[in-house]
Amino acid sequence: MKKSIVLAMALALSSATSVQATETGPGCGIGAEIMKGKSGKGANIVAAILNNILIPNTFFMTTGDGLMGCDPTKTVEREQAKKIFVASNIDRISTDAAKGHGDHLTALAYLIGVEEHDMAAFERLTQSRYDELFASSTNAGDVLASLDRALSSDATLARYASR
Amino acid sequence: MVKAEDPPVGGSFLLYMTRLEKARIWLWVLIAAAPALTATANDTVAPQDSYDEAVSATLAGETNPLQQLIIRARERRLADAPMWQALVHYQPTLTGSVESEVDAPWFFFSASGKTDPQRELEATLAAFFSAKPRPPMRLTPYCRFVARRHWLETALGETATNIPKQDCPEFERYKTFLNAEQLTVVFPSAHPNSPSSAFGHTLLRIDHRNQNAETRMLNMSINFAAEIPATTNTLSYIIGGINGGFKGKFRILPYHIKLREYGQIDNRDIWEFPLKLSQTQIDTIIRHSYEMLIAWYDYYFASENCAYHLLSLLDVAFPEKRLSNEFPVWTIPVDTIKLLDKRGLIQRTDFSPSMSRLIKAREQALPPTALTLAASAYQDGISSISEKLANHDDTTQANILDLVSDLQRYRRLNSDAENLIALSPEERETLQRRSRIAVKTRDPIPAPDGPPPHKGHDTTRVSLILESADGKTTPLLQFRPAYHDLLDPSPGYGDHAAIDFFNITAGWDQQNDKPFLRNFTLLDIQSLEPRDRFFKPISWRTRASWERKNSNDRHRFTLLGGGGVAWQNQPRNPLLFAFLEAALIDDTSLEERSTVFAGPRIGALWEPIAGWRIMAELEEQRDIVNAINYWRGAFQSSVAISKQFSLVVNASRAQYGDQPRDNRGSLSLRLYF
Repeated sequence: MKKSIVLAMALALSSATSVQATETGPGCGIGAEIMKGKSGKGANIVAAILNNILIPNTFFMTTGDGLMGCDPTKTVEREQAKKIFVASNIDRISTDAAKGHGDHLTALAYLIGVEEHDMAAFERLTQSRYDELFASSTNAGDVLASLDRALSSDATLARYASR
Repeated sequence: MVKAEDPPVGGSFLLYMTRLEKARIWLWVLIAAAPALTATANDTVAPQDSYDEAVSATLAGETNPLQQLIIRARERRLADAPMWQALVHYQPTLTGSVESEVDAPWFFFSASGKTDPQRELEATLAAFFSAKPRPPMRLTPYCRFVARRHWLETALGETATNIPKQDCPEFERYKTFLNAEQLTVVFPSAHPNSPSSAFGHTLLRIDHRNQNAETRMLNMSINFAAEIPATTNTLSYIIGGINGGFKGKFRILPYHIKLREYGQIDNRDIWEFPLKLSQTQIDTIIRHSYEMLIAWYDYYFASENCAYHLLSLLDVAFPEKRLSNEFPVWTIPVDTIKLLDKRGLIQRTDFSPSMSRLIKAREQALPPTALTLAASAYQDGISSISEKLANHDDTTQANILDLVSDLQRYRRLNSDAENLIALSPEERETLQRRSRIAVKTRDPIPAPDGPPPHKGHDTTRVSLILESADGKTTPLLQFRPAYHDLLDPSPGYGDHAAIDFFNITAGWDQQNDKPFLRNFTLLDIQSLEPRDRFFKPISWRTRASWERKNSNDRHRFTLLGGGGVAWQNQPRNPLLFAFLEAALIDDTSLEERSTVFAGPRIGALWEPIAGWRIMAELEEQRDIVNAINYWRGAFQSSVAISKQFSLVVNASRAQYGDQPRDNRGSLSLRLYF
């Protein structure tokens, strides 16, 4: 009896003070950080990003071991920034698209280069073609590819398609 | 009763130990901590070559460009300049000399650069002549240490043209990419559920030119954090975190990732403070941030933490009056915001609500029938309410679906650590249905509970207490360096968490005319998270304290843990709570000194009028080893006379077995500073 209570208490105490390395987000060498196999929510997010987009091997080379102040802009050049944004916020973007508005959708439009006067058309497009864009796509690459197709088939928005 | 037969178990083992055994345990603790303490060993090897020799050779030789620079720098006493001190992060030591807080050896070009600003400055000038990076650096000193160079070039005037020019395309790209127009200090509010967030956190957002509120999440942010190796266990995490066993580094990454981490996963409200800075000051900080990317510090949870080093980064904009100088001993993140406010650096206060706050606002906007529908959809999926939903008008349907999808996402983020990004099938179903309704609903804009955190009481508290028990009055003096308890004035802190850290109470025994240590609480954390229809958080408490009631008693040690539930139907209404707690006790006045107390505690907390708080508690515990019951009832009330000053009355009654009742009352004056 006593033993189990003591054990339960020890457990309660240790979980109450359980620690998470949440402040240790990945740095400029996002890839490099993951290679180190970090834990914690921040790292999970980034690991999820990695699962969602293919970062070429050269990426790791350019960032070196992440220690020597790797070039932070490398990870965030426009295309890369778009992929990282979609990959790490796909659920929020998808929710905004279904609703037809929202800050995550606006941020995506900004990254694509949609001008303000075309924003309403962009919101209509992502809402009306929701199934095609999000219902089956599970990763950022697919979502961006379907979005590209949808954009190019739209009279007003075709010019925002990447090709 | 158990001492003879039972081997010591779990957390209670310390209580059974002889002194020698205890010493052995501490040895083990030290050994366990050793990996954390030595983790930095690999990186502390200094770079092979310093530039000291180059400096002495130059000075010994004929007139040459570097020599001219050094002479000019000496004439102008640049090494003593506040800006140089800020750039290399020198701080005065106790002996009157200075030492840089940076611990990365390659941050210094002189072998004695950490403690010698003069030699470091001269070696830096020598390093700028080098066309090759010094291993393990990737860039030349000229292209990496851009803030040092920019300032030295300005301060040396014409002589600075002696430094051979180099192209630094990477830094140019960095600057253009960031295109900083404004710097914003971001404060995800304190959250007791993790030690790294218990006192809040700060980071810096670099706001790009020409943007609006929505695209701000795409900005980059600079975050200072300890780097914790994946293999670290809890004990070395705590020990290493407290005594500098980990490396702290500046990291730059997209703000949307941080926003997600704090606002959506950790569920913390986020406060943003755009700073009042000139473009010149912003440019200086951006340059300095680039050279700080290669630096690291020994991370100290209490002093050299995220908030402190964020200030030390900003210091280069105010070298004459460095912000970091205001925090010589410990740094609580909210205190750094208070300092920015005091210096008039805060331009504006923005509030970004946590996901749970947004969801609660959606709930409140829905009529009861719609809310019931949302609840069943949340439970059984959207298809379970398909027909009923169709009876509502489009706007109501949209509002219901928006609430359900937010709830479903919230549930996934808080239950499935593996799946933080991808939609669950149930969310997908809800969103597909939502996308068929082309109504634009307005998202609620929930307001914060009260003023921003830096407008609350200060974190250090001194209390003058008069305690009365058994017709005896004892004056007490209490010092608590941090942070907030449930009777302290609530503005800025809210109702849901209390952290008492290192609370010391000394008393004066009037009969024997001597002082005594009445109470020492190492840590007391209480989290009260109200539950509602959708959210079912667990409230919890943990406390470690030594306490004695009279100067001739021995101290009772208590290590307590417990979990419970709390309810509060409206923010201003009473908060009710019920806990189950158990405590390891060591008290020589008990028949068996080492024992476990366990039992329920219920209570209520209410602020009926702003500034007047009342709290009532009743606990009933069983002393398991001695098989004796214990109960205690307490009533406390506080009045906030001003932000920094409050009065508390406390009355309690307790009884252990058939011993006489312990009736006591106290009156406290609390001062915050």
